Amino acid sequence: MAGTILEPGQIEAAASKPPFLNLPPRNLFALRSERLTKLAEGHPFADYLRLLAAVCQAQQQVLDNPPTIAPLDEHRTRESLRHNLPPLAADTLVRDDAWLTMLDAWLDAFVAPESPAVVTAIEQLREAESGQRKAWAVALVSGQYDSLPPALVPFLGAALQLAWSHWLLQLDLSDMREREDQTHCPCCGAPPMAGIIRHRGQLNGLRYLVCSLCACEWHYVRVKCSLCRSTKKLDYLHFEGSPQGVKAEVCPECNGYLKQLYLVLAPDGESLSADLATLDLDMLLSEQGFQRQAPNLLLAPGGDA
Amino acid sequence: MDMNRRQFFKVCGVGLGASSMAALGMAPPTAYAESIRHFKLTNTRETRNTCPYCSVGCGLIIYSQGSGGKNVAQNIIHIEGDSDHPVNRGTLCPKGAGLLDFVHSPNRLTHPEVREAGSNEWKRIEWSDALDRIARLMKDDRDANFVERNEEGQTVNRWLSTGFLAASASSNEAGYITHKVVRSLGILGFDNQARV
Repeated sequence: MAGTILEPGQIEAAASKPPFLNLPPRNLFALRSERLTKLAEGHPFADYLRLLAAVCQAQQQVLDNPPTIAPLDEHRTRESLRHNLPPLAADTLVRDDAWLTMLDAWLDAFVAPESPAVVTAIEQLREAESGQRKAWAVALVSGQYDSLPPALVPFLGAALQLAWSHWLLQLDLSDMREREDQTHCPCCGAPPMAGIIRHRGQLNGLRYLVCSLCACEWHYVRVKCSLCRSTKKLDYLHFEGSPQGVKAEVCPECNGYLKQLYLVLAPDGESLSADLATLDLDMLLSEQGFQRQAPNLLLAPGGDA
Repeated sequence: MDMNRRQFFKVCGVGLGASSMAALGMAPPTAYAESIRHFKLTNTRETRNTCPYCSVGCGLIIYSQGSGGKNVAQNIIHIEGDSDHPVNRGTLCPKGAGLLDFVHSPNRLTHPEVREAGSNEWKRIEWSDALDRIARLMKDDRDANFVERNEEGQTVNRWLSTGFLAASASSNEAGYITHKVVRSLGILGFDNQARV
């Protein structure tokens, strides 16, 4: 039989474009908790990683049974999508009241370990009035770590992540337009926590940036600085054997870096836990004068500005 | 808006001193932070390139390692398809997938060689000698076999006794120059990237 004649458009459709967004799975926090528990074994930060495993577990509980919170403003969502603005803009929503309900729900779900410092921090957060809580949260999402007590960061950060992931998973993003070179989350406008290089199927070899707040992942071209978009002389620094599959993408133009999780090197890796388990790399890079902008909301980094 | 946000968002170093870990009494002993200083950092460079095999021009990412010094030669350790590249979306054909062996092959030709007529032995020669020789042979062949007019007396300016095969993965500019040089000599048997 004679070969069929291709119609215009047939070849283009076959060479599909990679998806712009990857949404986190519904059991995201459970996965993080599990992974943190595993990584804690024999780790120098074992106590902290175990504490965070409990924090994530409480996040999952609340995400599975969320309290009733004020619905998102549909008009604002629609207009934001239309004008290419993040529909869950962190700097706006953090000043509203809705996420405070999530914080209370999380505080109720969290079983604090018997550590006086943790108990004190939880008490402080529980007793703070909403104005103070918002002031802390505004400082945290804008990276002003010295404007809030470092002991509160992981708990406040957990509640914020929870609220934004909850919103993200109920949002209809079919109208979201793909944009190139997004250095901030297209859904909430927060900076990325890390990059993740996929290793399976259609996504094999593609890099996605992982949002520090809502955990959504968006496509970002590889071998390109995620801070200043430079493509020149990038270096990938890592310890021997790249433990946890993590390498830091270091840019000589802006002197900044972002850690990348290579799933091909750590197939069961997860970005938030991998980031926390490789702080030794950050400490060494900091010592060599490289700067990190990427927040991890479960840790106030505590270095010099 | 982007600029403001960037300046607004503080960059910082990661240390344990004022971190949440220390504030919650869970930081490792200070000796740990001290020991990190002695860990060895390795650098792996990732570089974009184009596959040299054919005119499809698939995108590649080449991984190389060196000691990190500016003038240290990098050793290529891995080559894979570039998933961001619109031509191949990360895929490679068997030849492209074997590029690493091609790069490190002991049989790889790195200098010009000549096998004289009647000999069965390859001899290494200098680039300048090779180029002179090629020019000489081309000139002789062209002088001997150039066809200025056909049987009907029409001007054709053909040189049919020599062919030319040029690089596949080359730029528009290289394709243009190759075309100008080869076609103006009268060569018809000719292939390169510019055909595609």
